[in-house]
Order: sequence, then C-alpha cells, then structure tokens
Amino acid sequence: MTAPASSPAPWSARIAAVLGPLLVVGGFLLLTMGGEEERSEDPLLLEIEEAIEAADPEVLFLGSSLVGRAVDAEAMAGLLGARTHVLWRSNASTPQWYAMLKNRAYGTDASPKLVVVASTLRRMLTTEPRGERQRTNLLQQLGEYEPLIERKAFGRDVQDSPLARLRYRRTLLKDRILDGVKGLTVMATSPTAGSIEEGIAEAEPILEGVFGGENARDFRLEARVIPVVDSVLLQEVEETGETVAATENFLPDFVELARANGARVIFVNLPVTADAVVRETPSPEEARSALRQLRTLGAGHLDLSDAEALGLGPEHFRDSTHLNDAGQAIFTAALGLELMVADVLNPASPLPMPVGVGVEASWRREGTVAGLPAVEVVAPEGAGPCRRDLRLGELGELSPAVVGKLRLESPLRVEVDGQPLRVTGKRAKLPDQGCAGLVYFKGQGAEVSLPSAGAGEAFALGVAPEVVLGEGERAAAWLLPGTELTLEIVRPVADEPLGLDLVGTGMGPGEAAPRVGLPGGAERALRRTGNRWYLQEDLACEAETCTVHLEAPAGAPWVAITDVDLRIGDSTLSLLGTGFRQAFETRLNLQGDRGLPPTYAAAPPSLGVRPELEERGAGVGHLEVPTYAFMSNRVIREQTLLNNGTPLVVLEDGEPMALRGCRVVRKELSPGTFCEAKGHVYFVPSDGSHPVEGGRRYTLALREDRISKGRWLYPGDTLSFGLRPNRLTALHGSPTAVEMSIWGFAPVEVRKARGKRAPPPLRVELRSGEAEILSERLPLRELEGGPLRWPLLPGFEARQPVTVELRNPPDSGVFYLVRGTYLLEELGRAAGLEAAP
Amino acid sequence: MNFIQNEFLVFFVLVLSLYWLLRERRLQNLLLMVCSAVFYGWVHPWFLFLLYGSAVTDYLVGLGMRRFPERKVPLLVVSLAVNLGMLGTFKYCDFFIENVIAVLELMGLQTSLHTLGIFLPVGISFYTFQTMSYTIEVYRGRLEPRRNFVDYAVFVSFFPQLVAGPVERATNLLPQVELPRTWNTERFLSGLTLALWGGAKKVMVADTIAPYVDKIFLLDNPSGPMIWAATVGFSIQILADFSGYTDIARGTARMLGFELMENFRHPYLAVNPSDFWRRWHISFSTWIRDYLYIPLGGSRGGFWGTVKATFGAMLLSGLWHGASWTFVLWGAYHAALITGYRLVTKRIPKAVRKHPAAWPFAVLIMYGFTLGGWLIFRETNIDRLLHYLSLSPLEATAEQWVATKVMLAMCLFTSLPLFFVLFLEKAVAPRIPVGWTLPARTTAWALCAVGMFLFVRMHLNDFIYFAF
Repeated sequence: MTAPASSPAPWSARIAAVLGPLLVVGGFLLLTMGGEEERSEDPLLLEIEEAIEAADPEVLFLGSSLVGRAVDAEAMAGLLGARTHVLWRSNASTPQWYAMLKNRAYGTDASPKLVVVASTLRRMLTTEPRGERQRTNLLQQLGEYEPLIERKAFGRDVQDSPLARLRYRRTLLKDRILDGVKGLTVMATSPTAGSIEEGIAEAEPILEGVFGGENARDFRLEARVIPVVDSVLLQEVEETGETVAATENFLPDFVELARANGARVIFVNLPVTADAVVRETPSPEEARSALRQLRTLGAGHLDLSDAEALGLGPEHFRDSTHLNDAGQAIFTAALGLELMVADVLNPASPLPMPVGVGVEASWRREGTVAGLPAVEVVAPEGAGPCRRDLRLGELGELSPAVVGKLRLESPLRVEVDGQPLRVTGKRAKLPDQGCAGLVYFKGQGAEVSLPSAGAGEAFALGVAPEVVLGEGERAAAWLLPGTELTLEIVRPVADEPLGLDLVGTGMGPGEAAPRVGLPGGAERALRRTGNRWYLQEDLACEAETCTVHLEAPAGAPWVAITDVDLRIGDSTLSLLGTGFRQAFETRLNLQGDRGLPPTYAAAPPSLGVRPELEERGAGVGHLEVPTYAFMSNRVIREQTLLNNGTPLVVLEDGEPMALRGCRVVRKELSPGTFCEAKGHVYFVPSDGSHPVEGGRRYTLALREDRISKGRWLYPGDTLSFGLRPNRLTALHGSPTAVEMSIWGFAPVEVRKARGKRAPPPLRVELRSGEAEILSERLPLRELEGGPLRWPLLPGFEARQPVTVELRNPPDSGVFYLVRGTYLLEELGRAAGLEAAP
Repeated sequence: MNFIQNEFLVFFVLVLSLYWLLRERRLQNLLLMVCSAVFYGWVHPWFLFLLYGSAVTDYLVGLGMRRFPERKVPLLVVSLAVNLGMLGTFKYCDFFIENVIAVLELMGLQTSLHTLGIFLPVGISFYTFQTMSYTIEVYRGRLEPRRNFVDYAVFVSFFPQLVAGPVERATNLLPQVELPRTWNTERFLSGLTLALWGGAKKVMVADTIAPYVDKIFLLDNPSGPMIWAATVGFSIQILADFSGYTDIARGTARMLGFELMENFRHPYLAVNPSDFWRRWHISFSTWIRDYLYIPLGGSRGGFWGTVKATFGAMLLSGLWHGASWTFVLWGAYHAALITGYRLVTKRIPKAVRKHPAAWPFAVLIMYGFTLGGWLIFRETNIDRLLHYLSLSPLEATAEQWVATKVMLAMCLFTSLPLFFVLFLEKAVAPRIPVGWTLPARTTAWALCAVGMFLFVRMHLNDFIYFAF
C-alpha cells in the first residue's frame, strides 16, 4: 500500500489521525465484546440447550465428533427403549465435554440416568485443548467460574484474563465471519436453505468432511526445509498430545458430576482405523492406571476400540477416526447390544467393566522332564561320515515334523553335550562332508549332521527351556511329565471372582492325569476327553496376584495347553489361544451351503397398497408409502456396500429400478434409480420421461431375491435351506444346539398387538433326513432379544442332510430377516462334561 | 527468525532504535551486519557458515578480479562453482540421487545408493543469486569490487530481504549501504505502512485461505472443480504470502533508510505471459533475464533461438524454485505460454489487441493460464498432478459442488482486502487532500492491526518462499 507524500497536516487532520484508529479499534471491541453479551445468550449454546431440553434424555452420550459420528441417537433409543441424546461438538476436548455436561446438560435441568462418555482412551486422558479451535470451543462452553477446568486444562486462571477473554471473543467473531461466508454461499446456491443458519446447517456435514480439522496442514511444500518457525516440531507436539497422570485427568470429575446429579457413567472406547490405533492408544501403564481409576470410582467401561472385532473395515470410516453412515449403524448396534446386555438402565445392575486391561499372566516351569528316552542312533549306509539317523521311539509323536502339522511348535530338541542342535527345515541342508551340527526332523525320526566330523558324539533328547512356544493363535504352554508349571496372574484390582478354563492336547505315551494346585490349597486333576485335557475351576483368590500350579507326574502325557481363559466376574479374558469355548465348539452355517441354497416356495406377495404417484421436483417421481416406513433402510440398518436393507423396490414397467441412498439431495438421483426415505420413495425415470405423465408404469413391490445381510421372509413365505451330509464332517459327534438370529419388522400396531390380535408366530422346523429334530413357534416378541438357541437331543444322524424350513403365515403382517442359522457342537461345560471324572 | 513471530517484533524495535541512535554510517552498518547474523542464525546458527561462505568467496573473487584482471574468467568460474556447488549440494543433491536411483531401477539395476536427507537452509537460493550478481557485475566491469567487507556483508546479508528476497542487485543496494542514511519521517511512516500491510496480507489473506487449500490438496480423491477452486485459493495464498513478505521486507528496509526493489506489480492483472513475468517476482525474473536469458541469446537468435533461450531460462527458473520435476514442468509450462503467445499474438490484429474492451478478456484468459501453472506448482507429486489434470473441471457430486462453492466463496472473501487496497491505491489515494495523509495512514495501521489480531492463527504458516 502506498500513500501520497505528506505535507504539514492541519489540526483537523491531526485529530482525525487519532480518531480514525480509535474508531477502528473501538468498532472492533464493540463487535467482539458485544456489550458483554452473556454466554447463555450465545445462539449456539441456546441451540444445544434447546436440543437437550427437547430430547429430555434418559441416556446422554457425550464427546466430540467421534461420538457424533459413531452413535445414531434414534437407533440407540430404539435399542435401549429409552430417550437418547448425543451431546457432541466437533473439535471438542475432554474438558469441553465436562463443561458441556455441567453447563449445557445439567444447566438445562436434564436428568439422564446414564451418561456415556465416548472417545478413544487416549483422548479421554488428555486434559489440554489442542489448537486454537479446541481452546475457543472450550471457552465457549465455560460458565462464569470454572476452577477445575482452569486448573486441569490450562494450569492457570485463563478465564479471568482480559486478554484471554478478548482473544476468545476474537476467535468467536472470526468463526462467525467465516461460517457466515460459508452459510451465505450455501444459502445463495441451495434451493433448500432459506437463511444463513440453514445454509450453515446444510453445509456443515459436507464441509466438516472436506475442511474439518482446521489445523491440518500440508507440509509437503516444506518437506525439505528447516522452517524458521519450527512448525513441523509444533505440529508433532500438537499431534502427540499429552496424557496426564491418572489423578489429573477428568475421569473422576465426570463420575462425580454425574453421580451428584443421580446418574451413572460409562466410558466407552471408540474404534479407529488400524493406522490410527497407535496414535489413539495410551501406553499399557496409562491404560492400566486408568482402568484402576475407573474401578475405584465405580464407573463402567466398555472397550469397543477393536474395529475388526466389530466387523468394521476401512470402508466403514470417513477418515481415520470418524465412522461413516454404514459404520455408525454397525457401531450403534454393537454398543446398544452391549448396553442392553449389561442392563445399564437398571440402577441395581453392575456397570460393565472390560477384563484384560492391565491383567498380566506369566508362566514358569520347574523340575526335570521325565521319560526322555535314550535315542537310538543309526549310521545309514552310504550317507557319508557326517550323517546319522535318530529314532525318537515313543516320543515320535512329539517330533517337530509331526506336531508342526497341528501348527504347534514342539518342545523337543536334539542335544549334544547339553547343547541343542540347530534345526533345519530342509534335508538338503545336511552336509555330507564338513559336518555342521544340524538336525532335520522327518516324520517320527530325525536325521542329524554330526557336530564335528568323525567324532562319536553322544546324542540326547532335551526340551526347550521356554514354557510357551509358537505364536498367535497356535501358541501353546507345554506341560511336560515330571515338571511343574506355575501360572501367575496379576490383575490391577482384586474385586471380581476369578475362574480358570484351560484345554490342551495330550501327546506321547503317558496316561497319568496332571494335577492342579489352586489358590487356597485345593487340588484337582485335569479332566480328559479323548486326547484333550481340560480344567474348569473357580479360583478362590482375593489377592491381586493369583497362582495356579500344574503338576505333571512322570507318567503323564506331554500336554500342549493351547487355550486358557480367565473368567473375571461375568467376563472372560483369553490368556492363550482363541479361548476355551472356541476350542470346544464347532459351528456350521446352515445358510452357507451353496449345494442347498435358500429357496422360497412362492413369489413375493403383492404389497396390496397402490400409492399415489406425483411429481416432486423436475423429473423426480414420488410415492408416499407411510405404511411401509417400518421397512425403511433407516429402520432396518442392514444395508451393506452391495445390498440394501429395505426389501422395497420400484418397478418401472415391471422392471426393478436400482436403489440409491436418499441422504444426498434428491436431484442427484440418476435416471433409472430410486431411493427411499422412511415412508417416501423417490425415483427418476430411466428415459428422462415425465414420471407421472410419461406413459410408463411405476409400481412399488417387494424384492424378488429377498437378499439383504441375510434373507427376507415376507408374509406367506416359506424359506428352506440346509446342509448336505458332506458338510457335516466337521462335527466330532452329534450337534448339541441350533442357534438362529432372526429380526422381525412390522408396523407399530402389529408389534404392539397382544393376545389374540398378536401376529401368528413364525414356524421353524429342523430335520435330519426325514426325522424332525426341532419344531418351534416363534412369537414376534421373542425375536427382539438377540440370537435364539435351542438344545438338540443326541441322535442326530450325520449321514443325512439337514434342512431348515421357516414358514411365515400369510396373515402375520411381519417381515422377518433371517440373519444367520447355525448348527453347534459344544463340548465342555455346556455339554455337561463337568460330570466327567 | 520469522517476520510474523513476536521475537522479530522485539528484535526489530531494538535494532531500529539502536540503529537511528548510532547515526554514524559505519556503526550502523556494523550493527546491521551483526543483527543480520543474529536474525539468520536465530534457529540454526550453522546456517551462518553457508551464508558467510558464499559471501566471503564472492568478496575475495571480486577483489581478485581487480588485482588480476587477466584471470577474471577462472575467478568467475570459482565463484559460480562455489555458489552453484552449495546450491547443488543443499538443494539438488537428493533430487539428483533420487533420479539416478529411478533411472537405474528402470534399467533393472539394483543400487545401494540412497538419499542423504539434506535439509535446505532457508534463503540459500536468494543470497547465492544475490552474491553471484555481485561477481557477475564486477566481471562485466559494471561494478567496482568493494574493499570494505562490512559494507559488502550488509549487502549480502541485509536481514529484511535475506531469506526470501527481493533478490537485490549489487548496483541497487550496495550504493545505498555505502551512503549515509538520514532520518526521514515520511519515509519511516511509509515503510511502517508497507510493513503492516505486508503482515496483514500474510495473516488475513494467505494464512486464512491456506487451511482450506491444504485440506483439498490433502483429500484422497477430490473432484476436478474442487481442485481448481483450491488452485484459485492457492493463487491468492501465494500472492498474498510472497508479496506480503516482500512488503514487510521493503517496509522494514525503508524504515532503516533503504529502498529495495519492487517485486510485485498486480501480477494477476497481466494481459499476457511476458507481462505476467514483468509483474511477478520482478527481482528474480529480471535476474533470470539479465544473467540467463540474454546470455543464452535472448531474442537475438530468431524465432528458434528465442525459443531455446526462453525454455533454457524458464526451465532453470522452475528448477530454482525447488528440486522437483513439477517445478521444472512449471517452468516449461510458462516457457510454452510465452512461446505460444509470441506465435498467437502475431495473428491478432493490433487494433483488437489494443482495444480497451479486450483488456478484461486478456486478464481473465491470462489468469486462467496462470492457474494452470499454479496447479503444477502446488502439487508436488507428479502422479497426482496428472490425475488432477485428467479430472473434468465440471464433474462433481452434489456434496463436492457445495465444497467447491464454499472454497470459491472463501477465495473471494479472503481476497477482499487485496481488492480493497487496489481500489484505495487507484481511486482514493490520488484524491486524498494535502495534509490528510496522516489520518489515512493511522486508520490504515489500525485496520491492519485489527485485521491481523482478528485472523491470526495459533500456528502461523511459514512463508511459502522460505521453501525455495
């Protein structure tokens, strides 16, 4: 900016030179201070408070955009049967959640019975707002005096500083200006937004997706520069964040605040994508410390951070931490189920607490392995001076070559003078000359290259010193004859009863049962079924450290303990392997045999309602079908990337149109597609003709393939499927149970009808060949509590095909979605094995 | 140290006070030399070895040329080798290695070569070019080599323009260093105004639009309209960022009694590619013209000779900006624009070219071409760049259109101060009555200060050209 040359200024100009800047600064102060506008009059806060008042929640979810994206309040309310509200703001830090709970929720006299604080554990433990946006967002939510937040979040008295207040209001003004530009833009270009606020509201989810996270920066241009301001360093500090000592975080404050207002608190860890796990996970010590703290506080904790376990893949995330709509549906269902199972709204039921965090288990072996035979050494003819064959005799079953087929690592070693020989996987590695001291196991024997040429070494068998061998799911703790294994369990808080379930596979010649020394002095023998050895015992241990001794007598088999479950209260923590139950359970999917695919006895029924057709927007047809709102995607929430949940379809001259999502602007529908939105169906003719007067016929029907994430069963439908005998070979004996997961969808009046007016039940029949194994009638109300399971009596004929038939009476008015049907073979406790000697 | 850090404000106020208290030119120069060293070595003191390595070399080469006039050529070669060697090592070494590895891999050969991860010291491209200009001018006999090292060192390391230009010519700056400076209130106030406006451009315009631009360029799969809207945003960001830096540099220098070169002259009002380079980064483009384009033959070698010189100069100009093929491509793109314009302009009647109504069309068309260049400049990954160029600029989902419109609205909003000041400059300033400059200035200062306070972000971006 240039300015003309100055000359002596008149007095009026000199006064103006002072007044001008005063006016500018004064105007700015007026705009920012706004006559000391009370925060409670802030439109945003009013909007939040009005939303809470309108929802009057019994369950309040609290957090940042992570929970905003993860939990669908409407669906959650349906699952819990309680009024639910998600109180979230994007770019909100932990102290802001606290401030929102204190000032917005309890400030509006809301009285939730349950407060669910949901985020990643690392964010929960972080106290300081990161970046200017988070700081401003926090300040916006504060009350007049917030000593707790000032101390924990800022470590100083921020709110009473005039400069901090000015900066806070400055940032608010800046945000209002920038939001105003965005809102004005959307208002000017969108037909649906009538005001700037509506424009902002309409654009917010989109803009959050594109421009969300103000502090995100593209450092590629600066990648090879040492910046004068070390911004990369600053960014790293910002991203790393600081977690604080357990006593300094906000966890106890949430609990205290909620408890003072008559509510209980559950902390829920949200899932993130694999690449964000490290960033969002605190150290094990911090996690243990937090868990200990929560237990002490009496709060609940649900760890749902394992995305994979929830069935969430990268396609379910918008970015590394925010779920998309499909992910939200899955997560809401999973969390809802956990909360329902825990009966969290019942004040008498204990709050859920995950097991495993902070629990450590270690194994120790003592004693000398008994029964290691002297090996027979043979010098094969023509094999050269280096080679010998060893016969392992009755321990041949433990040869690595044999045990390896079970994907277990054998503890057996071949030793010379107490030193184990290196094992080679290939016979070719054994040299004919220049002996190298290698052992190659083949079947139940071994070939050895002598450690030194020509020497007459004395070979012996030995065992690996480590107790647990192998990795991952096939790791095993080896209990060897003549030795004692000690399993030491350390837990953060000793407040839950413990139980131990373990199962192993016995090998070798021994038959004697290993014995178990339990805490408190009790002794048991391992039980046996076939070659499996197992234990199911409660542990009378009230200390933080519990010790179990497993003693194998000299005549015992070599037992590879592959699955160890620690029962902590009602939960189970798998210490080794995939878990006791899986080790004893075989599960066959009855809907998964392509040789006997699901078939229907008849064509889909007619819908019976002829909705009126009208044009809604240029070229967009509309059918209003409130009768079928209960079959909307939004209700069913079963849509996948390939399938949509709703069975409704628009037929154009009898041909089905393609279904699209209705969440975007309707005008985006491409020709030949339709979308449905809870009682409304919109479509665009495939040839661009007028939807009403174009001469083509549009009708609403039910999908003929009936495929969703499962199979639909319309009123009047009979669905059959099953397994051929060759698919039953996975069973060891006779199946012990059938499990079905069925959901029923019906209009409200049908769902609520009781007595004679209740819809006729769904009929389920299971046959083995011609023999009827199971015949059940399932009223609609029984299908709302998760999977159903029926025990089967022995006598199942595994050489016959298994068939399942489901019949939905024509007058039921209920649409069933058969999600999964499984044939189970359970051993162990469920099958009554505890009665075995 | 960065102009937009609080430390700089304190530093500058101290330097300024001491500087005008000293009054004696030699002491002032000594102070400037020391303070420039503090400024440059603030974060990484070892940078000073490079700066003074280059400065001392050219100082000695200059003296050598005077003493041994018959050995001017080898001495010039020494200067070029040292300066270009430094640039090559710190700026292009890894780029060279990466390309050697890529070529070897293309040929199916394995290599144990690996990049050295050398960081680029801030400002090295600027001060090496500045010292080279000194040596070249001495070589050409247009400048007397200086004996006074302090004066010479102030010319090389003058802190206001040290890290991102303007690339000063020895013929412009050295005489100012050697002459006594006297206090001039008008010049001081004018400098303050310019510096404040530079800061406002950086904070209110460049750093406000930057996060929006960054977010779109960081998206995995943006649509064509979004990318082009973000490129419009980047065109505003880079102009405000770089010209903001230049204004602060020129303003602070003016407060110290120096007049630095003008670096920008409303570049987006250019009507053709040559005009653009007469308006954009003028100190650098004239350096390239004088020391590269003209020695390569300039426009004296007929059409093809001119094309050769243009491409040579512009490719090296692109490479000067960064060790990346996209910058070379950017240089080639501008060379092609200049050449294409030369071909086309001959076929357009002069009456049409000079018609007043043609001006807005020419400006718009040239701005469109400039945007193409900025897209190449902004996207550092050549695969992504090719992907962006393959996208239809009119195809996007409804949500992406909303984001595009908002991006364009933010562009318009953030560029309002630029339009406003252009209007003030052209329409209001000439009409300010005699004696009313002071209130105009104080009000402008208040507006800039309030604007900066309103839009400043917690973590300010570095100036973009620090990367070059």
